[in-house]
Amino acid sequence: MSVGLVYAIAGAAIAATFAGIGSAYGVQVAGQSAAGVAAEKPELFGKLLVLQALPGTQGIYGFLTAVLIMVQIGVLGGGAVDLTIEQGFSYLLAGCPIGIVGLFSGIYQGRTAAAAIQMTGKDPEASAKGITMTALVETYAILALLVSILLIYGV
Amino acid sequence: MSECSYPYAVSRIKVSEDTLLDQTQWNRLWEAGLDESYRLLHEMGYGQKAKNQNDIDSLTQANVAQARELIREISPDRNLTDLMLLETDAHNVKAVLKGMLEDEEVNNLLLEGGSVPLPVLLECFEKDSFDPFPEKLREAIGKFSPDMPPRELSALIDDSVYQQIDSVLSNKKTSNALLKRYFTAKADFTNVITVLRLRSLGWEEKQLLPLIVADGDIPVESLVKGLEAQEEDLPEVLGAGAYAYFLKGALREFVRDHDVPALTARLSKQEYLIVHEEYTDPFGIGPIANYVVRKELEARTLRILFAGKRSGRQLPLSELLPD
Repeated sequence: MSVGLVYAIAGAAIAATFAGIGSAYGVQVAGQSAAGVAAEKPELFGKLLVLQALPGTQGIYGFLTAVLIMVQIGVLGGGAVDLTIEQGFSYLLAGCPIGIVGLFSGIYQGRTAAAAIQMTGKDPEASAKGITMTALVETYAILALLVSILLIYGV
Repeated sequence: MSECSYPYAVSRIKVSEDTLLDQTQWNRLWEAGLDESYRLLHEMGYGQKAKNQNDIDSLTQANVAQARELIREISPDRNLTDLMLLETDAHNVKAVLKGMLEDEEVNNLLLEGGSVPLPVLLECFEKDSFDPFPEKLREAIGKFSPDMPPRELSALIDDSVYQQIDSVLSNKKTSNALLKRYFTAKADFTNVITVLRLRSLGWEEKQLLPLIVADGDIPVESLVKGLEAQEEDLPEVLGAGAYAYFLKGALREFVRDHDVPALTARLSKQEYLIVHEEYTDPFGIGPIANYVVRKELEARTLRILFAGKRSGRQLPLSELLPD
């Protein structure tokens, strides 16, 4: 296995791991908040579930980016491409945008979702506003995903 | 559940805020006669667990106790939330100890909603073992002696409450800026009211000193000076500490009206406004502290409202409500 390939695999790992951590934290904190509201108003479970699920998308983006890198370098098909160090390092850098932005946006989106869940608990009619506020944090994860994808195909 | 997270606890609180009386409900209560007001409170589900449904004290005590029970149940940090419940512990401990002094049954005077549940509290006194109590309160109970005058006992227990608050909030690991501001202001306001009451009784420095709560910003010398000062100088003498500007304004009104209950109500509102500052923090103690203080203020306001109805002298609603 070449050093370039190791770098590329590290890029895939960074994308999946960090974005996954961000999402896990976000879903966890939103879940705690949702549990508090559901304990008092179980009928709001459906609305709460949507808000809790929103910070989970970063993990999916990270996973998608990791799969794209793995496809590009051929590790999924069993015939790994022989990459130069420069190519491998480029894949590593390509995984960074969604890895890093996914980590932080997952955390912050989770915190926003928790606050939106509390708002929904107080006023169930406000859940749509809460979803909109929470979804806005997503913008930056989507932009990072796009950058990662463009970089992967640019290598 | 003893260690919930802040998001969970704050969510429970936000939903429970539905049980706070809103402006429409206050308007209806203010306009209604005494009997009608009790009926309205029943309708609103206020104080459902009260022993006497036609007694405002019983209703408000039950309602505040329910809020305090909730705080104990969902507490994300017992060190901090217990500080909000210490007043009830102190009341219960004083009641039991005074009952022992006077050899009287006091169980009907005990309040639910302290950091130590009532059955546990009674068991502690039966077994003479006070481990579940906060450290400073435990120490104060240890100093109790059967020949102690009741006033000294009260001062001992009250002082231990503020010592406990100070020991928790001075500790870097457990400190909290919001609660520090709140309890410092509370200590200052309590001391100012004490000085004003003792002035009207003509008491002296040696009687004031044991009653002073130690954790305030206002220096003890100023409080002592407040006993002897000319009335028109009170705003300058007692208006000190972090809320000096507010205190000076409130004391100027007091000098004009000589109305201690009105001053007490104004100070209570200010205490509420302090905890209200962090009401929107989804991950902190702010909404929890705000809820308890709001419930206490609501209870106090209801008692004043009902007393006004009984006496036929009702204060305008705008003067009763904090916002």
